[in-house]
Amino acid sequence: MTISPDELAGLLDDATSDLGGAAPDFAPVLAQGRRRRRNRRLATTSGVVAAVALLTGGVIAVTRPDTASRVHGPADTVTGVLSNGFAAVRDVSATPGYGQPQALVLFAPAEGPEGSGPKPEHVLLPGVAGVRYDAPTISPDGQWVYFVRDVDGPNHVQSTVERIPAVGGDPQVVIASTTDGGPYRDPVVSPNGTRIAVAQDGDVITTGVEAAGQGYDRWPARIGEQDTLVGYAPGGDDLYVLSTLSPDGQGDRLAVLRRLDHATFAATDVQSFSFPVGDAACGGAGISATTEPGSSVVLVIYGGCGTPLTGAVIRDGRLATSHRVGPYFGTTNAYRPMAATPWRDGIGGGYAFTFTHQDECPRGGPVVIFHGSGTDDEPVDEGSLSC
Amino acid sequence: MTANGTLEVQWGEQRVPGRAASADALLTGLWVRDRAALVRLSALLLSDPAGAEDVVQEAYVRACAAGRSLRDESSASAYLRRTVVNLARSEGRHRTVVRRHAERAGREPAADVPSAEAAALDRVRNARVVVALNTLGRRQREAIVLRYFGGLTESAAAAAMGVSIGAVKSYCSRGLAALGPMLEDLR
Repeated sequence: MTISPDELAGLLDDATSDLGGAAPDFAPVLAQGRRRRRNRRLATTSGVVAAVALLTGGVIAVTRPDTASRVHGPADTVTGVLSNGFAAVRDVSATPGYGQPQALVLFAPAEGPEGSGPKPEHVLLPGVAGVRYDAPTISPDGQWVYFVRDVDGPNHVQSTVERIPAVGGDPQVVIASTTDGGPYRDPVVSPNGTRIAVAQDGDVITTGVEAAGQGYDRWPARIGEQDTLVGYAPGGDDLYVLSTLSPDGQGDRLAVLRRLDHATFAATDVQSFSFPVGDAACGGAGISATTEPGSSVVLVIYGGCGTPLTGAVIRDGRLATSHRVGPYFGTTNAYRPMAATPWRDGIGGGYAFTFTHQDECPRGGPVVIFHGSGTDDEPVDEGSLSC
Repeated sequence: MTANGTLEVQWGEQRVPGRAASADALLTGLWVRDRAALVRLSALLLSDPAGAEDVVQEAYVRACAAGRSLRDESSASAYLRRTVVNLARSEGRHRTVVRRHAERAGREPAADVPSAEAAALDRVRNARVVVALNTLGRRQREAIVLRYFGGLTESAAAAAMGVSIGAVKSYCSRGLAALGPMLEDLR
């Protein structure tokens, strides 16, 4: 009663073969990998922030290069834990396609005084045909990379949630596959690193991270296909969900951050975001959000298709700040927020937003950094982008 | 921020440094390379494939207009795919409106002028797999076509559709499950 992706691909190819042309070959995968590594600086005004991310210990230190000789002190150094921006899924095949193998890669911090040097990378899991990795997430203590493994099976996608030591090793199954049901999506780890939640078919599944083979809780949370699990809310039990509305890409797009109560499964609106869709042909603006593990700060990046990127920070369930964090590059959906780190010195203050951009940097994983300058009241109109 | 607490962002100037030297050359290359495949993609996205060529033509026109922001082949190709997906949505809505107006007026909608590709389009229209696709929701159909016909990865399909990767996974999973019983005897 089912059809495999290969069989369906053959039927679709055959149905349109009279229209001429070769089978689609849209994805120049290797071209991306070969693209020249860029390090662009867009900053034009005074005060440039350098963000140096240290994976070991999960500390992000932010300071200004013009005061770089100053040792990071309590006023300059803010601890946070790196989110999934440093673990990436890489397409490894020369042949594009829906079933192409992917590798799971961990990017270590950049070398160099401003994080401008090459980033050592570690292939945690090499590419295997028919196997896809999704949504790699680093645990709050930086010791584990959690991910979803999707394998095309004879009847449906066999989906498991697994984790692998960040230093390399054998993966462990955290949530086993089910014999039916859709794939797991959006794994998020609790701030204390002991629990994991994942969405499947509208439900939320939660379990202990070391509960392989044991039971788990299934919440009837009615997660829609346009909804994304963002992370754990303060307290470590409730969950944040981001819902995107206006699905037709017409007019303004609205996104709502909701808090999902772990006891009642009821959702409460926390913050809504409205942004112009922009060029309809471009597909409009996008939004993505994540929490900083260990602190339950929600970061949101939105904009796109001509709309400048805006970063928002929600702390303790309330909007803490909202900044224009930089110009627009490519499709907004390519942006994944990782961290927002507050900084302040004699000249100004703001947040340093750190996120990944899958198209902008080679090999899909490295980090893009935008930052504020001046005071909180000034529009943030500068940023640096480095891979 | 508005009174109801909704954050709003306004249009701003687009700054795209480091753009490719010649967007024209870029698009000419992609016209040769991708046009036929995009027509096939468009034909599968539309409930009526007759508009497929128009959609692709319009996508290239818009890509020319957006030339400033197309930095390289990869981003231009992604822009074209995304534009085809969105124009196919608009085209589908437009045709639905035309049909409803015609039905309300008690007449058949005006037929398109038969083109040289009419026979090929008829074959697309009547293919069992396309008839089965017509029963899916729009997003399931887009995900299925982009992934399994277009050969896009989950992340590329998500970018083309403007949804998350997780959503693409769900759409494909449910779409395959729905198509299976309908296409079983074709395997």
